[in-house]
Amino acid sequence: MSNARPISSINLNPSVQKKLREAGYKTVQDLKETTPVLLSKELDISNQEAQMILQQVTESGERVSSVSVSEVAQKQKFMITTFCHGLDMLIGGRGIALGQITEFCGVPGVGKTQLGIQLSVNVQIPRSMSGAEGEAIYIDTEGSFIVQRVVEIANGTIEKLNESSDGKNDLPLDLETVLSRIHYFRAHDYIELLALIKIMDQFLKEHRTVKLIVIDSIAFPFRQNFSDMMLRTRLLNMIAQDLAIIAESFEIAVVLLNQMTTRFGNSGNSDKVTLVPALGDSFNNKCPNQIILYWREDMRFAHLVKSASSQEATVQYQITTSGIRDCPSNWPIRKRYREDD
Amino acid sequence: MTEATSLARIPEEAKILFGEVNVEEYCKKQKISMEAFEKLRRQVIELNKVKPKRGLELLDKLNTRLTNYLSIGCSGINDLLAGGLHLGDITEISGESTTGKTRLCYAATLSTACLNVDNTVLYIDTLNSFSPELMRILFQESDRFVDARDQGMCAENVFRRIRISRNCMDVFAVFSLVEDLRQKLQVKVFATIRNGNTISPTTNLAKFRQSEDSFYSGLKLVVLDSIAPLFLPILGGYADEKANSLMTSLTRMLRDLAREHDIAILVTNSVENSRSTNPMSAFASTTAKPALKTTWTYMPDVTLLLTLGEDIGLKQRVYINQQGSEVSGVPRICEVLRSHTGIIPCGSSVAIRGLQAQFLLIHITGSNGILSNLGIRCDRNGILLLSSSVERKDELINQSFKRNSCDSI
Amino acid sequence: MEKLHSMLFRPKIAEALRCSNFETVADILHHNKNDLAKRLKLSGKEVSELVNTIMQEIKMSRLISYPPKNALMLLKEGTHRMLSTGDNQIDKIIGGGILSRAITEIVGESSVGKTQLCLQLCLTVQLPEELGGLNGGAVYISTEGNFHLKRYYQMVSSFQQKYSSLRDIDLAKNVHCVTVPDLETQRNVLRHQLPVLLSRNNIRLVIIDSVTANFRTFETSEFPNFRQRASEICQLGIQLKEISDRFNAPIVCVNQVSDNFAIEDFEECDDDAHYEYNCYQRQLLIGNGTKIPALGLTWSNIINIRIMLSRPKRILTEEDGSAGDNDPRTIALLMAPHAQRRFGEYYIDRHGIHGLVN
Repeated sequence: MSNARPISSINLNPSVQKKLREAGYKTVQDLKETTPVLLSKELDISNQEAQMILQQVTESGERVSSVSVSEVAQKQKFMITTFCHGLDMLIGGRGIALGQITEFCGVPGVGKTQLGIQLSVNVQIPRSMSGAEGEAIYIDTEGSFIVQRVVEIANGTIEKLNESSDGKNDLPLDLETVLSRIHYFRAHDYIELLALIKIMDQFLKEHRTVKLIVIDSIAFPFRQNFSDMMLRTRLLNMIAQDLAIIAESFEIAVVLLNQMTTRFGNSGNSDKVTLVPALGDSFNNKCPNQIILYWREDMRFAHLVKSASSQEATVQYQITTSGIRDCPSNWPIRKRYREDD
Repeated sequence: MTEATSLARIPEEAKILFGEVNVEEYCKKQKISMEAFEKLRRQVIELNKVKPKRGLELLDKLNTRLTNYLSIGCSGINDLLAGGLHLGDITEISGESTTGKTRLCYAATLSTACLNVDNTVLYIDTLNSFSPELMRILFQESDRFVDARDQGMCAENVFRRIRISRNCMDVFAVFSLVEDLRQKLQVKVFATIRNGNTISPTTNLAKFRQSEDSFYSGLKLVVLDSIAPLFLPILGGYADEKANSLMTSLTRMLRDLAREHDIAILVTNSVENSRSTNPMSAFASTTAKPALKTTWTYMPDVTLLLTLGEDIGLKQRVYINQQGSEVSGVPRICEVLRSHTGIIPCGSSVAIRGLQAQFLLIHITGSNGILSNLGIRCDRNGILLLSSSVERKDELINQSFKRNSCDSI
Repeated sequence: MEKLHSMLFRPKIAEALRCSNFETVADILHHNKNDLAKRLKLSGKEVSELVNTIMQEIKMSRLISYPPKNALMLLKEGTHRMLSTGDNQIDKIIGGGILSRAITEIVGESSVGKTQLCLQLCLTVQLPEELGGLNGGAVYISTEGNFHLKRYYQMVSSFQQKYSSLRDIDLAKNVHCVTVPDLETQRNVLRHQLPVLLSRNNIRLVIIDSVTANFRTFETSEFPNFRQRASEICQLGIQLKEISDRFNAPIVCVNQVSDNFAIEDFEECDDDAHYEYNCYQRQLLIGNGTKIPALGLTWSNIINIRIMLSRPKRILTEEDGSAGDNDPRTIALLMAPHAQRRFGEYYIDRHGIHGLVN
């Protein structure tokens, strides 16, 4: 008989586990045959505690399941467009995918906040126009969310939608509606950010139409001096996992805006300074989609570093008064690798 | 007697077996006679005893093992692994992000599914980054699956035989899934279960008769992509022992499943920083090793390490693949970091187990855009391989560029 | 850090907390829900309740708005205010004025007019809101310790001539000067004295001139410890942002420039990431093209708005700008969340700093 799942692999208090072991329970299989009453008698615990233990086993079994890929492929996926066709193609077709974490890293001034605001507005595009038709949550840790700018971008989006709609429909969105669907949180330090993420699932249960969470930026609260760097890594891992669970269970796109930091000394040459995304490798490995925004002369580029569904590529974009847009095709295209220059 | 056996719960076997129970008291409590107790005790011993294996059996097993493998999707890496993914073994692929681990998993999944119309694959995705579109593109455009396509396998058919997990984001969820898998696979051998076992027959039979049974009877490959996010949040700090024990339990469950039902297990892992202490490694400048610390190093049977070619000075170049078209990209390097199974690569002298690392270049194609400029249609989204098996880095690079031939998926 | 025993919980939860060794809010938040359920022997629902109660309690002491406001509410409340610089043209270039609830950096070489602009802001902040001010006073934190009193009074008289309503007010009274000669003093002032000053008096503007000086010690010491410097800078940033948000006041930091070392081997580097860094540095350059803002990427990641002042290369130098330059200087808005990059020209005379209309 192959090894069944051991009791130690259930998320229980060590003392409870000890009691189970002493009573002779070794595997989850054994637990399945008993009832709360019997269990509570045997372990000398309350009926409620016994119920909780058994609940743990059945609940987690019900939550996970597997589906065939054909089912997954058939489900229609809504994406959040950035209004820059190049960027949309870069990320994987029609924009940011729901249910996944996407990370945008960039130096200050390159337009991360602008992108965050653009997505918060674009997530509200109605389904009839291939949008996600949802609300947005904007968690601001830096104080760069300026409402006047949101108004400009919202007006830009409304105008663009009006152009493409037939004109016979009612106006799909108006300014006040758009603004009212962006929920704004301000977190001043990492404690507030942690608290927010922990109550997030409750907030989402009350606001089922939310389809986007933007955190601007995830790096700022963690740049402070943590006396224990392992704590910082553990907290970041915890946040990444919580966000991943939220993204999948509520089918929400989670967009993290990250800063860049300098790393001194590569192998060999210690004078060399390189730009890397902040918060370290362990955090960056958790995000399945990562895009770096950077400057080249006076132009802005986006480079896809990794993605769940696309290849490495680079694209140019611009920021106008109305928001993020494509670059006109007559602008010169620059490549990232210098050999091609 | 049967009453007594059904009452005597299996958890108490240990006590009965090892005499921790006061026999008289026990008999009085359960209201059975001393003889009945003895009989019960013998039955319990019978159930739990471990049968020795004969040497011939082991040799048979070894022989089947040597020929019993699945393609990982790339012939050069198959060579590294002395055939491919061996059934009953856990193969680990570690590497930094963007080195191609997930891509390799997709390739292995598709290879297995396309090999035989009965084969099925379970893909456990802990990062929620599974992309059906990418798999579809790989299947439809890569030349490796031309035969399968010719034989009439369409994407739909293939996809129906690949299952992807849902909600498996933390270690307890994965445990539940693997336990569920174990139970479903157990039903396959239901007929040989002896009396006295406590698996309740009715519910499992019913499940067995559902349409899922064909999936579990044809299961050949389980992919876990990736295992790092399951344990990284709990490793480190106060909870290390717990994480290690969970890791060991999970691996044991997977390996038992694999051995018993002839399944190959493929696991991806990320890396952490390190300085190489192996003086014979041609990559003495390796700065990364598989994550999850020391306990994990004992878990898989084979560990492959993927690194970006950029680290050792390789740049984006244009290569010609076996089909004759030009492709461009940055090469990746695959190295057998550890092997508990004494992999002997084909066509070379005997390798000392675990010490000699074989190097091959894996090459991931760049974007179509560059090549369409050259007017050449290439194999998109594939993994190319420059094949060679040499021991030293420079020889390797020179050889590969001279030969300029490569494999593609 | 808030302590748990001072918060109100349901008896069962309170008991569980007492039996555990969790003391502060941070202890609870550092663990995920499964862990908490296990250690406190509570159900999942009870753990959620615990976290919710914590959230309710801490939002009083901190400025958390939960349930959150939406953008429409923010617009109607007018969360962000603009402080005029006193000159319409310059206001236009920098996006309407100096934004409150944000850190604005004014960076440039020496004697280019940074202090001048700050003095001008000390005056404009005292104007009523209809005229572009914030109807309050200012705190001037300087590292060198010499508030340019003479120049200030010179500008006061021109100012009072321009705005008749201010003629009778003592415009020097509402400007509080603090000197921070070293990092230790700076830390203490920001942590203790500044919040007190802001809450007791009607202060609407904080100026730090300059933020670079106290960090120079890290560079000139024998072993430049950049990591320590980076963490000090981050700490400063978090403190400033919190103060700015709490009191709805703009914070203006004066920064100096340093040399761009990377520019020398620009053409020879073949490492892509290094090339990236160089390109990033280059886009920070205007005017002469060899100087970049000091304190590096760490500080750049903290500020919200960057205004750069620069002079064209001259052969002769003049002592102070009051004599009037022949060559106009350049003012550039390099980075702002609410406005595009803009360039303009300005000059300084005895009345203050003025933008040129082109």
